[in-house]
Amino acid sequence: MSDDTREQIISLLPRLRRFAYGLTGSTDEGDDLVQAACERALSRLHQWQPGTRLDSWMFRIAQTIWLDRLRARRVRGETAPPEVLERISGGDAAEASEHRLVLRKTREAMQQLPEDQRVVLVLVTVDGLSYREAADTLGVPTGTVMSRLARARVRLHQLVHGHAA
Amino acid sequence: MDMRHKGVGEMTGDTDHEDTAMDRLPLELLVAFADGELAGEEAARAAELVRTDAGAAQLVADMRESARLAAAAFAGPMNEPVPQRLLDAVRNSAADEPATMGTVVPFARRQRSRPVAANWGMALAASIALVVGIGGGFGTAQLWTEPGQPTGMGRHAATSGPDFQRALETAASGVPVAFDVAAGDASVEILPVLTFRNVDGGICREFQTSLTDTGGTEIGYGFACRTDEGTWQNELLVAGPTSPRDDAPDGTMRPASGDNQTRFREIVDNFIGDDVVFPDEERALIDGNWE
Repeated sequence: MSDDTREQIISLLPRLRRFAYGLTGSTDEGDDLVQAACERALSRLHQWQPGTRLDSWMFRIAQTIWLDRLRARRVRGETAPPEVLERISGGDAAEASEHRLVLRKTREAMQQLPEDQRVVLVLVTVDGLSYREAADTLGVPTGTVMSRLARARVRLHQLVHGHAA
Repeated sequence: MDMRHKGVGEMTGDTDHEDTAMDRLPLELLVAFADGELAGEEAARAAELVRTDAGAAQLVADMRESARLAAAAFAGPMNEPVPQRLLDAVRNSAADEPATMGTVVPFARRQRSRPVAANWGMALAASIALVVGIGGGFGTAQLWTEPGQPTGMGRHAATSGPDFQRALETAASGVPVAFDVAAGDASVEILPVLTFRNVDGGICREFQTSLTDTGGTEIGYGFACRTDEGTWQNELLVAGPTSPRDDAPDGTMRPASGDNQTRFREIVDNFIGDDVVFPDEERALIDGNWE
């Protein structure tokens, strides 16, 4: 394979980590997910169409793996993974303490959203994809992205500001 | 009481829909407007709503704020170096492309039934305190016996004999299958936990074993994949907690290794390839002899 593709994946790692952090709510679990996604992607590189977006493909792989893990937990009858003590990452250090509290609340609120809403929210508001790009990444119509996102955003706002559902 | 969101409930749709722009729900329209996703007529319609309706204007402001919060809440990874292990994973993982066939780990290629994600799984497995066996082709048998453990013969029989095969072949996840081994001196319970497809599309099952003999009861965690010949081959077996019989002479309790289960499941998670098989499909697979 071209080392070029590996380098492209490496340049995507910060975004992949952020995406996985948003999905899992934990940087440690997120990094495990990123690693699994990279290994999966490399082992299936022939399935990637050069000329199409590598980032969308990688996001999709990560999301698929994550959904499988959630399903496995459900079938095993596991409850949610034990609360991982949040590691303070570089970004947090610069945040003012009051702001930090709101951000923490936001992270907790994100984890309470249904999985299909959370992934759309992460793609659009965290990664900054357009609705069209998010729809392409997930293989769903733009209308679906729009409706899931709208519900997710209202719910997120309610949770962060302490409104009842 | 905050009334700003009065009316939002009525605007919230509760089904996914792919309707045309014209009958978009006001809520979706306003969120898309807040995100700068609208153009032309729709943008004009949203702008008009925001201009004439205080609730709509507040909603758009709130949606912009929550988007900023979400972006900031997860910005951490963008501002810190990528962990070395991830860089290594990308640089060193075997790639499935004809051009490099000669340089990738030949073992993984040759053994088609072996999950390709083995690299990491093996490393994790090695970190588990008591891996009693990994890979059906090697290592399983000689690691069975350990001083103070239930008889090696019993354990070996528990996870290789026809009864073990029958359990994985016919029992649904969550349904235990019990049988005797070692001429009745020990009893075994196999509990299938989860069925999944590995990265090659092969069927694998995670299970829990419970072996009871005169020394007490030992729990084990394992997973096996179905071979082309229709047998179940162990890929990994990990020792779990052990408890002595109540009337055991020394009565000492081995420390429970619940942590092993957690780490074992991390390994299994990395072998899950295509998907996790849900109960309905599992039933159909069992009824169809896994074909």
